Amino acid sequence: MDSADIEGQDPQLLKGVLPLLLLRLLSLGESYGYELVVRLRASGLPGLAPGTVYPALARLERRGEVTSYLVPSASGPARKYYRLTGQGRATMADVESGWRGLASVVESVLAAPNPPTPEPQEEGAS
Amino acid sequence: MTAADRIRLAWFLLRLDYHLGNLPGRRRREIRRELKTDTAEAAAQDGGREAVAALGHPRVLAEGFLAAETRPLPHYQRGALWAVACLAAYVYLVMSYGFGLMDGAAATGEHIQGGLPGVTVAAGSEATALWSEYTFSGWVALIPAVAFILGAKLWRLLSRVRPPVQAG
Repeated sequence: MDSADIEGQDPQLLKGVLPLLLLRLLSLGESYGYELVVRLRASGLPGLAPGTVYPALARLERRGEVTSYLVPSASGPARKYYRLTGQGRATMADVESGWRGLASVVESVLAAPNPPTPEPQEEGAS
Repeated sequence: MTAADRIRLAWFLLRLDYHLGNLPGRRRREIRRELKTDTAEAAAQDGGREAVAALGHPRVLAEGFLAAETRPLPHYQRGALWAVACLAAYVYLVMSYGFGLMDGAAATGEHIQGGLPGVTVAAGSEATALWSEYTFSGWVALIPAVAFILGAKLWRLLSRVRPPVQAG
């Protein structure tokens, strides 16, 4: 299954892991909304819509997991940058640990050999 | 961005702002500024029409922002609606009362005075015309004010911030 399949089949799956992905990217450095969108697209989510990312960032900010500040711009309004907080770093560690545990369970279940496909029964067979 | 792109984005932000109505003005301005700056950059790479379309429907985006709030918000628009409706109902009641007094004045040929809470009404009948006079008290202003407070649930401004909900 490629990244486009993940987005196309279950948006809830992406929505569930988006906060973790954003926290992880922000742990690598401060950034702004559209830059985060571009980085996630480049990471394998080409169809990611900015309209999904901004509310997720707002939620993280309201929870105190990221903080924001404005950087003046010569060409327009000031740009809003996000920075990971200590609380956000702790949350990221927790969620990442939980995700890895869940992923290993899913992997082990999916790795089990497929059951043999039942033979189609002939009509009239008793 | 082209002029058409700027108009498209401005129209999107206007609709978004309408749906964000329950957020404080300062927060709405923050959101508009962020989207304006970032979408200008996206438009330079993907095109203006695509950049605005990628934001989705303004109502859905607004719901996302509203859901991100950590405390219940007042319903300012509903409060305004309640205030207008209650004031309109009061004015209708007073006018009906005034017309009733005018009918009485026409029937008796005398000046009649009466009142409702917040208003005194006088009516009279002259040879050529009927008249009525309304004197409102300042207390009438309480009607839309109270309706606004109840409709908007303004006490939510005093509510404490919800405890953080852990992700995952």
